[in-house]
Amino acid sequence: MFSQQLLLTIFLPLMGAAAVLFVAPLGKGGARLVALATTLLTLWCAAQLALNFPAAGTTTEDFAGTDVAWISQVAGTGIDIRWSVGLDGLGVWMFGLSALLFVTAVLVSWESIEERAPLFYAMLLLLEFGCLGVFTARDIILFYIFFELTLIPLFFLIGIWGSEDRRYAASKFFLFTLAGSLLTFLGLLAIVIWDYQQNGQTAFRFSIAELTQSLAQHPLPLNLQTLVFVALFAGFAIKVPLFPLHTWLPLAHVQAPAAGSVILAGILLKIGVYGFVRFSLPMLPEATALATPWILWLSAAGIVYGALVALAQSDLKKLIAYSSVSHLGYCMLGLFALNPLGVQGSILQMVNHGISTGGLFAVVGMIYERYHTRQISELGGLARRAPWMAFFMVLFTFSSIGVPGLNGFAGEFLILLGMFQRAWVESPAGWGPQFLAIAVLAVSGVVLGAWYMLWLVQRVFFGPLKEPHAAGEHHAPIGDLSFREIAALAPLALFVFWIGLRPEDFLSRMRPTLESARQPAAAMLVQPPDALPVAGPQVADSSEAPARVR
Amino acid sequence: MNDRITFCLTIIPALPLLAAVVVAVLGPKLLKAYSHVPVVLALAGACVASLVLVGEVSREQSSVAVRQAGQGFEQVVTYWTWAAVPDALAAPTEAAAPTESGASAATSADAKPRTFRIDISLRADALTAMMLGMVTFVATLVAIFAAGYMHGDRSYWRFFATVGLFVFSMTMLVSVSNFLLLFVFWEAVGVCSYLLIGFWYEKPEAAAAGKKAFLVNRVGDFAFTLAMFLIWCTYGTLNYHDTLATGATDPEAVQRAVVDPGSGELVAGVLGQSRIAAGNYVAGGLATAICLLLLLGACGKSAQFPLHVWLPDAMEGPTPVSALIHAATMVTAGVYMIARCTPLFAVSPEAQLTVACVGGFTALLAGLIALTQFDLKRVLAYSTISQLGYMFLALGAGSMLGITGGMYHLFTHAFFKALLFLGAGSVMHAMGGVIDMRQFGGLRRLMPWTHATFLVGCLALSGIFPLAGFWSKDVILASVHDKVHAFDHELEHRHTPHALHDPAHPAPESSAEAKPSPLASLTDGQLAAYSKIYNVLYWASVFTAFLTALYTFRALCLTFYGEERIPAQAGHHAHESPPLMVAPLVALAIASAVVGVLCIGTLNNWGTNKLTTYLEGAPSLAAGAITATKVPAEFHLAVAGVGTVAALAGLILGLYLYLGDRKEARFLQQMFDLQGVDRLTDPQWVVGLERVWWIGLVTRFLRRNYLGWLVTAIGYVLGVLSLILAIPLLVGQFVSPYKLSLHKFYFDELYNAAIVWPLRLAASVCYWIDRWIVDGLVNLVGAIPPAVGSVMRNLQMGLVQFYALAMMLGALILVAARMIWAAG
Repeated sequence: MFSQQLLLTIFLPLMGAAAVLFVAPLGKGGARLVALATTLLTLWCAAQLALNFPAAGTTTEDFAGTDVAWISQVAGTGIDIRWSVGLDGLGVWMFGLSALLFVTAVLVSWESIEERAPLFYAMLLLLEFGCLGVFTARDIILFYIFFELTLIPLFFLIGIWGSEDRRYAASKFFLFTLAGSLLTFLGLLAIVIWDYQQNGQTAFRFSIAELTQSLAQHPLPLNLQTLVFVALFAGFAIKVPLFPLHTWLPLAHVQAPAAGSVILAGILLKIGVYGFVRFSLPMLPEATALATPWILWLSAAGIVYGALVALAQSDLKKLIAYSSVSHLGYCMLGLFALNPLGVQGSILQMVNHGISTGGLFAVVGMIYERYHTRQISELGGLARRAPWMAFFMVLFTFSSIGVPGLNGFAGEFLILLGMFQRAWVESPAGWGPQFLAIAVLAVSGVVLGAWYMLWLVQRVFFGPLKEPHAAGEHHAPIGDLSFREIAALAPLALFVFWIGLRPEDFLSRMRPTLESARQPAAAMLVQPPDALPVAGPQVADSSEAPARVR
Repeated sequence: MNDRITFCLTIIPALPLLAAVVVAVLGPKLLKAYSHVPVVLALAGACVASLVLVGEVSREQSSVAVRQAGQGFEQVVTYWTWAAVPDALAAPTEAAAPTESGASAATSADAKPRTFRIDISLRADALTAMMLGMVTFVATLVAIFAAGYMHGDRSYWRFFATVGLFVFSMTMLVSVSNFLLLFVFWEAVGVCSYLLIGFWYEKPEAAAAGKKAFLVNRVGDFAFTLAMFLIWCTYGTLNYHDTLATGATDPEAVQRAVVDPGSGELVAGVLGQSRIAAGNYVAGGLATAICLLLLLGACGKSAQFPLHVWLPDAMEGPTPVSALIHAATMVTAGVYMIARCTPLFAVSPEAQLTVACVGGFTALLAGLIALTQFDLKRVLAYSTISQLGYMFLALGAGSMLGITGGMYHLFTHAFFKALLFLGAGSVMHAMGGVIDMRQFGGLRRLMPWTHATFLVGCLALSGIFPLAGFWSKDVILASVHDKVHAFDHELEHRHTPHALHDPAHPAPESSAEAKPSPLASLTDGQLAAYSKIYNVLYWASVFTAFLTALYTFRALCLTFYGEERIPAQAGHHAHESPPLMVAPLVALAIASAVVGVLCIGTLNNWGTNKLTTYLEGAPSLAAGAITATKVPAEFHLAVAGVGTVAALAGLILGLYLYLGDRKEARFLQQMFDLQGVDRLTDPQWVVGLERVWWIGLVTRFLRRNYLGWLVTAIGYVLGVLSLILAIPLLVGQFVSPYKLSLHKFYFDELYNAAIVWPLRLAASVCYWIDRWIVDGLVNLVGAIPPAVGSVMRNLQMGLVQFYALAMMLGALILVAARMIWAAG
């Protein structure tokens, strides 16, 4: 298999980064033009791929896949690391979302980045390379390389171009995610080694598809599965971030430049959920089933807790950051409802959250660019000064709080319906009342979500005009959005309506992939634990292991 | 398929949407002060289409085929698929425990895994047609009025764009054929309401009122969402109409599947013809739960207790908005929804009782509050809440008479309440934006047209013969009155052997007999209790009729009678409104006067007035349990008499108190404010007791016999007792009936104290926990490695960067190596 189209799309940003550094002597103007051209070209290529993606989804083979031997038979140890990339129903949307949001990221940085602009755009494009790679990689090593590659540019973006407390935020973000991802890597390696032992293969295999298949035939024993699950969980749950591992997020958001926030909220958080769908669910179904109640409780807690903390914020960015904690709670909730409605809603909601929260952070960046403040109390009545900005803010707010007809509703509704159904008719024995409590708690989060977001809009955009005194001294009179800024937000608005009105266009393409990822774990969930199939040679091991939660 | 219906159904929402888009795009730069033109034209077009639709539906209903089938008429038009998730639900719970009666028709398909299929589909039936006609008619007149009222506003175009969007959403709300889409437009009208309440967003009150309306509605939506989830889990579909498992939308194929249940293709809609015909509804606690959650959702949108607090604040919006959204159309969505879900409610007498209680209580509560408000628009807002309460009460009666009565009142109320609001808007326009009735008065000479039309509206609202309100209110009273007897009848029926019972009447139709009455599930004690509760509700609603007339005429007198007073804000140009605004007032006044009479047929068979006959054609009301509870209804002269007497009493009292110098009104106010009760709390009266001759005789006798201490002791005891008794009176001064009414029974304060502030406190606590405990633990963990490896500590930052660099270089080298290798 070899597809130039996808390879070209992935490598375009890397080439763009090199080109930006090449034109660095021209300063800000040249760098941002090259960056914009690169992201636009990438978006065009990615759009081609997404539009040509089969409407019924992919089942056996990835779309536009490339799979060539990369590092193999190194010194006869039998390692088969492959350069394997491709798009399936899960990856294609995250891939497209990344390509879309980076255009916005470049456009919101257009004026606000003054210092060392070429380096900034090079980092941004490198980050795009990492993001595109991570959602297409079909080889564990390749995935991990891209996974880490997303950390480093963002670390610099926050650490160099961030606000006053940027160093602390950057290192906290970095150490937090790095610590998690190292554990994740160990977990993945354990899977590879198990596969090597079980199959009598001559080589260590790293292909995700092969490993999934192999683990379906020879599942890990339950105790080992739980261990591996915990290891994977460490990295992915921090990335999501799942309550209570979220404290790095508000800090990083507040300190990051606008583009960094857009990408962080819009794309990087999704790698966590993506990891759960890609690895945990299909490879470790029993452990997933065991962990489900706990993760559901954490998600529901995160939904309500994130919303409540958001209600107490006085900083625009922090408020939206905590809203992300709440919204990602919905994604995890839907995912671990483990039924078609929940899982498909969850993945749709990831895309939705990327669009609406990306848009919100972009608008907040535009406010900051004008007033150099993020304090809600210092702002008021901006709708009068900047009606277009108010329009986009209200639109993304409505999208974020799940107003029907817009994208947020489609995902949220499917998730909540899925969760409720899991609680009401499909709950594993004995868990019914608890699951129902989780479902109702999650639905109540919708009310809180509307509260803090509308409160924000009311305070900042409505009421009598209020602007910080410092503004206007350094700047010309503050105006409405420029054409560039509208161009940054309009594509997101398009998707807000598109997904809201025709979610089936998106759902049908992701469905087959998600179904195959979900089914093994879902089957485990509803079975009584004693009837868990005992597989593999370690019969004695796993039958001794019923020291389980349930 | 009737193509004319399809066409009308499509263009009724499409025209307002198109107009909204046109105004939004062209308004700011091109149309400017002509922004109303596309919207008014589109609404007028939609209105014509709606009237055509009403006629077509009527024609279809009377066609032979529909009559023979004994079902209602519906036509569903499907556009595109919103979502279709296959194998979403293994089997609905209803299939696991099929009800006896419905085992045949629906369960065969229920056993298969269900697809979560939501089609964008619209339906035409009697309920929809009636709502569409009312909505588009009122909207057209309000838009014409608004063209005058909003003239010169800075955001003229924004107003009309949002109004267009609202009418689109509202017409969609009443014509969608699916619970999820109902919810979509349920929220969409809420969003439009939010945008229009906060239209003058510079006013902090307006921005806050918009947010409050949205949030209170969200609480209702929370319940609505859960109800939808339960419906999905129970019935395995969210569609009203019957669909096919394959997803095909050809109506003839659906019809074939209905006729041939064995094919297993049919997915019986929640309110589908096949399900209603089979009476295949889950009863018991689950049904009650679904209905109560739906009710709470309806309470949010229709501003019923306990979620009524948002509507009065919503009066911050422009007055045409109050007339259109917060009186005539959006707030009636809850009534429409419950009427639509009649088959669901019919199986749960408990839920129906709750609906009736909520309605009756809200009607009374809002009527009491309206008595003391000084803001003309708020009086009307509370009046709206009260009248919506009437509609809920009628729906709660649950009989055919009650449900059509609720819809009938919804219909007539839309006209006279829109009229009253537009009249208030006309006053506000002339008074320079002042709406406090203490600041103006005696406007009848200044604004003769407004006065005359407002008077018609007041009479209609009070329910004076023969205006619209009289007829619809009478049906409501009659339905509750009959309901009381229905329980007594059932009780009597139970204790009479069947053979002996009812020798005069022939046996009821077989279809009706096959279905057990929903009341059968109630015990005798419950039946008696229900009968009593409905009786109380009946008299409460009669009293509310009295209150309605009283507060209505109070507002009329305060505004239009007495000496002429004009506030300073009005300037020197206080005048009657321009013809553009008066014309809609006149049109609505005529409508308010005649729509009631137009709907009635003959008096001796009250239950078959024209509107009822029309609505019976809607599938939700056509067959099944609902017609089984139909009581042969006549024009109750007694009920009409009681209602009219109550209304006239209120009217006369209102005129007596507020015409002239109003000193009686002031006296009544002081009395209900418990002013002067502090004089009763003085214990000195004990001393005065001795002046009563026989007490004096006794005390003198006691004192003479050296028992003076006893007299003193008794005196002290009485004094202390009176002090204790005085405490409630003193407290009563602060929460006197008058003050309770004036401060709206302190619901806002109560909710703030019980919900808003605790949540805000919880938010602060959570944030504190987040900063100091959750993050503190993280930092603690983070502090361990440096503490252990003090050597590494100094290198930490450098190490990270080195690591980063190494990662990147490594990755690049690997890529480069592979490329060179491949090339070679």
